[in-house]
Amino acid sequence: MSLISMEFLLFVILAAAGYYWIPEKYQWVWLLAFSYIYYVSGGIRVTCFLVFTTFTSWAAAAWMEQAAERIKDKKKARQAKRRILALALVLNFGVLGALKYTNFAIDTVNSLFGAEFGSLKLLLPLGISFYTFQSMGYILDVYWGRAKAEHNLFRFALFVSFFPQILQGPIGRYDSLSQQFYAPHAFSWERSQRAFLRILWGYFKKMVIADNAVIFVDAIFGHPDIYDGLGIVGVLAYSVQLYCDFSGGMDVVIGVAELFGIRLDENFKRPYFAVSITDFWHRWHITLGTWMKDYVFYPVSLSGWMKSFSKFAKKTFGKQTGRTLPICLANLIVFLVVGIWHGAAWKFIIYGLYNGLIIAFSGLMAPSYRKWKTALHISDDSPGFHLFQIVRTFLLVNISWFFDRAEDVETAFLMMKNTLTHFNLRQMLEPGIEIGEASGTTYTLAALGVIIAGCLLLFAVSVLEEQGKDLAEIFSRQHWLLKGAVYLGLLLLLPALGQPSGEAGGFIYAQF
Amino acid sequence: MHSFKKILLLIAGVLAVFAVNFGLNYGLIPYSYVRIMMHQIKTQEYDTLILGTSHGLNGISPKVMEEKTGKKTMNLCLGGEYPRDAYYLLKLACEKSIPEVVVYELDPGYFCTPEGQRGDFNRIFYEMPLSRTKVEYFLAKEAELDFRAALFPWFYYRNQFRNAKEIIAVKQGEDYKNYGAEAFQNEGQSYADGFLRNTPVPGMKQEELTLWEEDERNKDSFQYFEKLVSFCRKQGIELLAVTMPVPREALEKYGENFQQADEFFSEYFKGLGVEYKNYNRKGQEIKDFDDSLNAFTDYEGHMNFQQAEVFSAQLAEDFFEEKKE
Repeated sequence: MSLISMEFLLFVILAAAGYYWIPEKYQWVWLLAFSYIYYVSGGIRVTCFLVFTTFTSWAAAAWMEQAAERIKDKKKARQAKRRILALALVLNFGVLGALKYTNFAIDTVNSLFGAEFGSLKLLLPLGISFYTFQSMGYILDVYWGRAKAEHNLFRFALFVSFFPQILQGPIGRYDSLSQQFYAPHAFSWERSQRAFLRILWGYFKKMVIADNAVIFVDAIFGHPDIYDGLGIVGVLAYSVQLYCDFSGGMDVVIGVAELFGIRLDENFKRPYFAVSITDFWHRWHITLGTWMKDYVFYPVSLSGWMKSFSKFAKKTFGKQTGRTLPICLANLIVFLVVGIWHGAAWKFIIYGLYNGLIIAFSGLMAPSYRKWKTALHISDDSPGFHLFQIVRTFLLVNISWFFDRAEDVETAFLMMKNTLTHFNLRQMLEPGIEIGEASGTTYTLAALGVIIAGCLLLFAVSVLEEQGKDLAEIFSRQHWLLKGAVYLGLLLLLPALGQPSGEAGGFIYAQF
Repeated sequence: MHSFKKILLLIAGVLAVFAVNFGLNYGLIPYSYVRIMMHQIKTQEYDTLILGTSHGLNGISPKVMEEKTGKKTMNLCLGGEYPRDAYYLLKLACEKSIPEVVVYELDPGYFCTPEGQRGDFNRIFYEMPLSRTKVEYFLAKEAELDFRAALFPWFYYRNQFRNAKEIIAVKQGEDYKNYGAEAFQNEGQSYADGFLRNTPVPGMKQEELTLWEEDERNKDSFQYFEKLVSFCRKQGIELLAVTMPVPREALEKYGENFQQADEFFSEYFKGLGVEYKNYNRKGQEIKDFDDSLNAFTDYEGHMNFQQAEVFSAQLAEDFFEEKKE
C-alpha cells in the first residue's frame, strides 16, 4: 500500500477515527492490528519475515534478561548474553543478507571466476532493512543495559511494525517510541492541523518537485550517451529528486504518526546546508547515521583490536595521527556498511567508501586545515567561509550521487568525465533529443519552471528553519482564512503541478 | 476556538475543495465517447457485448455485427482496458440486463505489462454512473492508484486549460446533454456506429508494439480474466475470445513472438473452456481483407474503418453463423 495511494489515505482516516473512538487503553492494540493489516496487504509470505524478526528479537531480549538474572557469576552471565546476542544478530542479519545480497554474490562470483550460476528468485519483503535495523538496535540496547526487555510480545510487535514508518523509516529507538505507543492519546485539533500541514508539505515535495525532477534524471542517467553534455543537469536534478522524494516521504510518515500522537524522530535537517560531509551525515538520513554511530562506530572504536591498533598507530605515526587513524578506520567501516545497506551493487559500496574516505581524509587533515586558516586569516565564523564550506560540501555530495544513481560504476565515471569535458547545455534544446523523449515522458519548459519555483519555495522554508523558526507553530497562529487558503492551495498544487508518481508507489527508499 | 466552530470550518473547507474540484473537472475534462458508452449500457439492453482494448475499439463494428447476427451488439472496448476493467464493465452492464454473449478481444500485451496510466484508464471510473459496481471498481482499482486519480480526475487533463472555453461550450450543448457523438467527428478518427472509425492516413506508421513476454505475466490480468470467465458461467453468458489481425509487416517482423503468444493463449483458453480465435494464425482467413500496412494506422494493428467492417463481418460469421449451422 503506497503512501500516495487512495487506499492509504482511507486506511489512515479509518485507523485514526477508530483510534480516538475506542477506550484509550486499547489504542496500542488498535495500532498493532492496523499495522499488521497494512503489512499483510503487501502479501502473506513477506509477513512471515516480519513475524520472524519480531519473535526472534523479542525472545532474544527476554532470554538475555533472564540469563542475567539467573546466572550469578557476572562473567558467565555476560558470556551467555553475548551468545544469545550473536545468535539473534546472525539470524536476522543472515536473513536480510541472504534475501538482499545472494544474487549480488552470485553475480560477483560469476564475473570473477567466469562461472555461470543462475540468479535466484528471492522475495524482498518491503521495509526489511528498516525493521531489521530497528529490531537489532533494540536487542543491542538490551544487551548493553540501555533498555529493559519488553515482556509482552504484542507490545513489542507494535514497535517493529508501526505502519507509517515500516516501509522507509525513520529507524526508531525503543526507549522513545515505547513510551509513546503505550501512553493514552486524546484527540487534539492543533496536533491534527500540524500533522495535516506536514503531510501536505511532504506530498508537495514528492509530487511537485521530485516527480518533475525525475523527468530529467531518468532521461540523462538512462541515456548518458545521448545526453553526454548534460551530466551536471542530471546530477543536480537527482540531488533535488532524492532529497524531495526521501524527505517528502518522511514528512508524510511523520505527519501520519503525529495524527496518532506519536512523535517519530526527524530524519532530515536541511542537509544541503551542511558545511562538511560529516555534518551532511548529521543532517541526512539522521536515524541511519545515529544507528551506525551507536551500533557500529562506537563498538568498533572501543573494541579490543581497535585499541591495539590505536597503540600501534600512536607508536608509529605519533600521538596526533595515531589518535586520528583508528577513528578514520572506524568511519571507513561504518560507511562501507552504509554503502552495502544502500544496495547490492559495487556502485553502492563505492558510494559508501567515497563518503568514508572523505571523512577520514578530513579527520587526518584537520590540523593542517587549522594551520592554513590561521595563516590565511580565515575566520570560521565569516559568512564567506561558511558559504564556501556549503558549496564545497554540496559539490562533494553531488559527486557521490553519480555513484548512487548511475547504472554502474563505469557509467558513473563516464558521466563525471563528460561533465568536465562535454558540458553542453544546448542539448536541452536540440530538436530530436529533448529531455524526456527517450524516457517516454513529456518534457516541457513548464516542468523546469515548476522545479525551480518549488526549489525556491523549499529554499525559503529551509532558510527560515535554519534560523530556528518553527514555521508550523507560526502558521498555527494565523487567521483561519489564511490557513484555509494555504491548505487548499497546497492540496490543489499536487494535481496542478505534480507529475504522476511511478507505478510502484514511487518512493525511492520504499524499496529498501 | 470551540470544537463546534472548528467542525464547521472543516466542513466549509471540504465543501470549498469539492466546489473548486467540480469546476476544474467540468472545465478541463473533455467530453468523451466513454460517457456515451456508460449511458448506453445503463439504459439499453444488449445481446452481445464486446470487451477489450483499443484494437477492439477500432476494429469491431457493432453495427455490422448486428446486421450479420440480428443480435443487438455493443462495443465496450477501450484503450488501456485491462481484464480488471473489462470485468467491472461487464458487471455494470449486467446491472441493466444480462447479455447472451461476450466477445473478449485479447491483446497479449495486456497480460504481460503492469496496468499503467494510459489510454482511457481513468475515464472508466470517472464516467461510470454511481452504482454498486462503481464502489466495487473503486475498491479494486482506483484505491490502489495515486489518490489524485480518484480525488482530482482533472489531474490527467490539466494541460487542457487552454481549451477550457471550448470544453465548457461542448458540455453546455445539446449534443452532450443527449449523449450525442457529434463532438467526435474528426478528420482522422470519428466515433460512429458504436466504434472508433480510423480513416487511412498516408505517411510513416508507428512501429513500436508491446509483445507477449511469458516471463512477465501480469498476475492481476489473469486473475481478473478468470473472474470474468466464472462470472459469465454463473450468469449463463457465453464467452468467446478473439485476437485481432495485425499487419502482415508486423507478423513478418515478430512472427515467432506472435506464434508463442498463440500457443500460450490457445492452451490457456482451452483449459478454461473458452472458444478462441486468433486471426494472426495461419489458416484463420478473413474474406476480402487487406492485411497490408496500408489498411492499418500502425504496426500494432489498429485498423482503418473499411477493414474493421470487413473484419467484423467475418467475426460475426465465424462466431455466430457457424453455431447456427
